[in-house]
Amino acid sequence: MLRRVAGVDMDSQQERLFIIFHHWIRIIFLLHLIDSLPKGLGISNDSLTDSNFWDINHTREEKGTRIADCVILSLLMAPPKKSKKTKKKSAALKKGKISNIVPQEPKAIESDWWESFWMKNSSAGATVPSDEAEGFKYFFRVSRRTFDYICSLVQQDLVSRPPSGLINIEGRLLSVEKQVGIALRRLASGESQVSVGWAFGVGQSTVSQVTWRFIEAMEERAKHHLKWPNPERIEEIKSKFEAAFGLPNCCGAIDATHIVMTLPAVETSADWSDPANNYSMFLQGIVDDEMRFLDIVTGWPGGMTVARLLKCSGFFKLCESQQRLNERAKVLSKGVEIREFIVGEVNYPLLSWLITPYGSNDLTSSMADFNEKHKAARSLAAKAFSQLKGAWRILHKIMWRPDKCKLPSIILVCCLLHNIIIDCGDTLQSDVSLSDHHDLGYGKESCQQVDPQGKIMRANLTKHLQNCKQKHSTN
Amino acid sequence: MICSVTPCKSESSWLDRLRSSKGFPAGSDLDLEQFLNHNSDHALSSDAHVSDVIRENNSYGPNPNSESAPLDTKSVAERSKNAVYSGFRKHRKKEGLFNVMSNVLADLFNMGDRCGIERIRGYVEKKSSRKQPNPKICSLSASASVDDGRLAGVRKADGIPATWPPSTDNSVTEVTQNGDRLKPAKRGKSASLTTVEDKSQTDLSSSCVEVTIIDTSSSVWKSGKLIFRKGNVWKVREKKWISGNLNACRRKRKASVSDDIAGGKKKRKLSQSPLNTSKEAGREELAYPSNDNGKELCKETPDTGSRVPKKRSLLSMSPKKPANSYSPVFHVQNISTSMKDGKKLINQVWCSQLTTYSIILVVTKVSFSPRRSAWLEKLELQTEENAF
Repeated sequence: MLRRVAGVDMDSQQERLFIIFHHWIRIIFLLHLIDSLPKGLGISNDSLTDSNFWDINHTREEKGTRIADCVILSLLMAPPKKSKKTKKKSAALKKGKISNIVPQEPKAIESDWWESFWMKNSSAGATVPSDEAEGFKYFFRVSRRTFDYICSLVQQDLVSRPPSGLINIEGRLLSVEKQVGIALRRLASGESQVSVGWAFGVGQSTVSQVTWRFIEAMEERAKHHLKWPNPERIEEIKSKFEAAFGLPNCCGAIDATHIVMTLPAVETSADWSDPANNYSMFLQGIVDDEMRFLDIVTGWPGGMTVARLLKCSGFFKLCESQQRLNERAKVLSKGVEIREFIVGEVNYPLLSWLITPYGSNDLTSSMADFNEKHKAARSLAAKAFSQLKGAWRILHKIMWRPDKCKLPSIILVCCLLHNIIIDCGDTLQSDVSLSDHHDLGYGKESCQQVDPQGKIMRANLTKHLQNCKQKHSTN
Repeated sequence: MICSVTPCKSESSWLDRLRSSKGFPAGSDLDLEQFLNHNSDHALSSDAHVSDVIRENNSYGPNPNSESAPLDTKSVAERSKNAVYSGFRKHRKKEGLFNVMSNVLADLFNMGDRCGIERIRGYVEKKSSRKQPNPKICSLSASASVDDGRLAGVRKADGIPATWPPSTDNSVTEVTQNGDRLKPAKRGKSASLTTVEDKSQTDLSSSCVEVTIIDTSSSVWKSGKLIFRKGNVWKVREKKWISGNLNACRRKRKASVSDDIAGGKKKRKLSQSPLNTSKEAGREELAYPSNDNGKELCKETPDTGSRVPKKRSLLSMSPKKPANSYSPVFHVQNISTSMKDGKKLINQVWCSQLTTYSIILVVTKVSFSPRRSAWLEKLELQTEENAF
């Protein structure tokens, strides 16, 4: 067969073709598209020792034919038994590159990730604290103890097992701690995946995969950190609110913020356009006295009004159906009953369970006092959002065309992390939270909807505050 | 004289035919003097004829060449013609010779614009051109003349010049006609053009957005919803969230390459959700009866779980993927056999695509059987534009 092929007279064009063919095969090797070609192609040093290569090469040298012929023939002279192996390996290739790269024997899990990260990034900027513990908090927003707790939560989902485990550049499997570190750094800094990957010595795609796996794991395993409190806890919250702001039976503060993003300039993006001409997604949260999120709703387009957002929320439905904020009414002096309620901004409707401040016109002193107390109470929600966006800067930075189906999950996990920090007794660094308002550039358009029961509630609360003030002054 | 040339045409040689076609007398015994006399007479007579026509139209009124004209008038005209042009005979002779020679030279060589030369000389000869010198004016043909005054009126009203051809540009005419047709309808509704446009804009603003909502007050935190929006009117419908699919999707992700957070744009591009924020889909759904509470919509809408394999199949480099007919990617599968065929194939590829496209050659399976002449069992060629 060889003779027949070698006997073919080749003109210059065909010779060129063979040389191009030869280059193609080299490219294929470089791209790792096929690793099952016969080794006699003479690409690597190892393959030079292969018997097939030498046999063919020797034969061709004797015949004195061209190198291009040799390449072609060595390609075509694949042993038949290798075809099965080819099939297997190509099937493995289809499953993913990782399986092909991961060595047969798993290497040691990278456990000294923090040391190397600290060495690499401690001198990254002037704002990085010199203390290692503070530096840990600076990079990941959480203390080492809380970090370990988070790792324990997601351990089961993130543990790397060969062959599907994620690896770093050196080929070592990523530890759960490092994966959590990568994800937390990505959420905390809001930096690009490339930057975060550089800081950890991993690729951009690894950052992407790790972050999303962490988010999914947290969604499943950290739910208990964001739930409506039980009656005992509610009573605690009420007493704290009353002690701090003089508002009896107040269960929390509600507010909403926009998570700004960029979207392609197509017509379908217009639904996400908000009054500030940004594309944004709403996040509504109810916080307690410790600025812990008790309830959130997110995913709604920023073009809605806040009042509509509230009506679309499950919290509204539960409250309207007397399933929430309907526990124990407080009886004030003169038999006045105050039901459970939350406080909100003027852009929320005035309802029996949602008390908004008075308008700025024709305010009496008692009304102004009420507004002052009210403002202090509802500022908890604003502070919570400032902390949330300040600590998890991915929410504060303008996201570049995020998947709107996945963005709510990211927001939720940031809220979960916010609550975990509070639950674990961590304190954020003082400079973390945003210096300005969490929703800068968005005006608070007052909602005209007023429920008569809410009006009565607000009047009663105003009277109560006035009585308390009078009592306080007499004492 | 022309008649004298014509009979020779059938029986003379090619040289005679050439001479006759150029207006030279045929025959082998021609000297220069005869040639010059012949051509000057010919030119003068033709010029005189043209001038006669002009002069007679201007001054005499009735056409002397017409058979109804009286004989006296005809003779007077001939006489006056001879009297007028006798003084210019010598000058005309030279001019006629120049014209003949320039015609001959222009036929032999490319002398540029012959009409231009003639125009410079102040002599305009009407010569029919193969192409229309001014297509817009010349296209004023029968179809234009058939056109009634209505369109002209419309054109005038629209500020289009009257000389503007009505049928040269069909699209413009169509637009004008459409506009003409639309206007009465709008007037019939007692609505101006602008109000109708506004109405169409408000129609465009209606949209359908598929959103994923996370609400911690719900029993299931994550749910899909469809938001129909028309102006300030928002309607929200439940979209059944199949949690099983979500889990399956997660499992798949864990097993293989998972997705990017910001990579959703790619996924969204590839997923061809019929309801995926398209206004047309939104209108269709709004047109549906609302007694199904959105359950039917959920069935029609692909969930996120089904997107993942779609994406992978589209992005995968698998050579088994059928190539898009519009893409420059092509696959050649099961190429058999002999070296001859292989060479043919390579030649085809070389000739067709090599100069414009970069080529990646993917050999998926290579085997050798010495008993057969077919060495190359399966060869796939994948050409991708700008692959390198």
